[in-house]
Amino acid sequence: MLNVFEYNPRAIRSYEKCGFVLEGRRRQALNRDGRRWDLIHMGILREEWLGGVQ
Amino acid sequence: MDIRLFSGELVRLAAIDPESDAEIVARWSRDSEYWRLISPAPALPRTAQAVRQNLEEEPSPTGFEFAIRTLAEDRFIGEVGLWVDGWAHEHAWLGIHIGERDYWGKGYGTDAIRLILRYGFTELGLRRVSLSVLATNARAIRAYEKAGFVVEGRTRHTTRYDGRWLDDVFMGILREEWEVKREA
Repeated sequence: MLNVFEYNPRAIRSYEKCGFVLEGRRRQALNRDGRRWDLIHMGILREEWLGGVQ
Repeated sequence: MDIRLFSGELVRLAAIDPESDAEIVARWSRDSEYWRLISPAPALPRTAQAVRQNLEEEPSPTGFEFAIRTLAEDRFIGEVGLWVDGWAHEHAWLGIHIGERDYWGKGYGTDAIRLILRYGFTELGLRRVSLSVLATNARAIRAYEKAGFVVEGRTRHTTRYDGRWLDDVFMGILREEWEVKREA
């Protein structure tokens, strides 16, 4: 399981390319620059990883 | 101004007393179903002495933990707390358990959740409260929903019991949502 900040789409894309799946988002969990941002949860299971590696 | 910060309809939030409460927490720790519901750690009975030592430790400056006591009999039935996840984000994690089985499924936990949310949003100035719960703990999830928590996602396969994988459900409530709930 990993957490990534909503304002970091580059990281999210990279995790997706590695096989991580979006599992949910903790809404408005962070204060940055005077506004609130979500914390995104992603995860990958061993079966998914094995399937992806072939 | 609301000054009834510590008492609800069925329970009140009190200080945990290591002297009198440790024995009771130790008795709960002999209930393996209780362990299954509250923690992914292996179930392990604890002595009153070990619990007392633990309770006597210096509290964490970011933890706000209470004993849940019934209003009717002033009985210690569980614990509830908020753990602030960095003050800068005005965010905390909620933890609760009702150790006394006689008080399961009767609204005591829900009342304690409402009290701790009021404490978090009014006293600690939080903007959000988070929690995570085993997906199999339907009773807890229902109580959280009654208090206004929303399911935000699930962390798959976090816990393995009896060779079977279980998910964690994570939930959250924002201050605006809590304010609407409070006025309703």
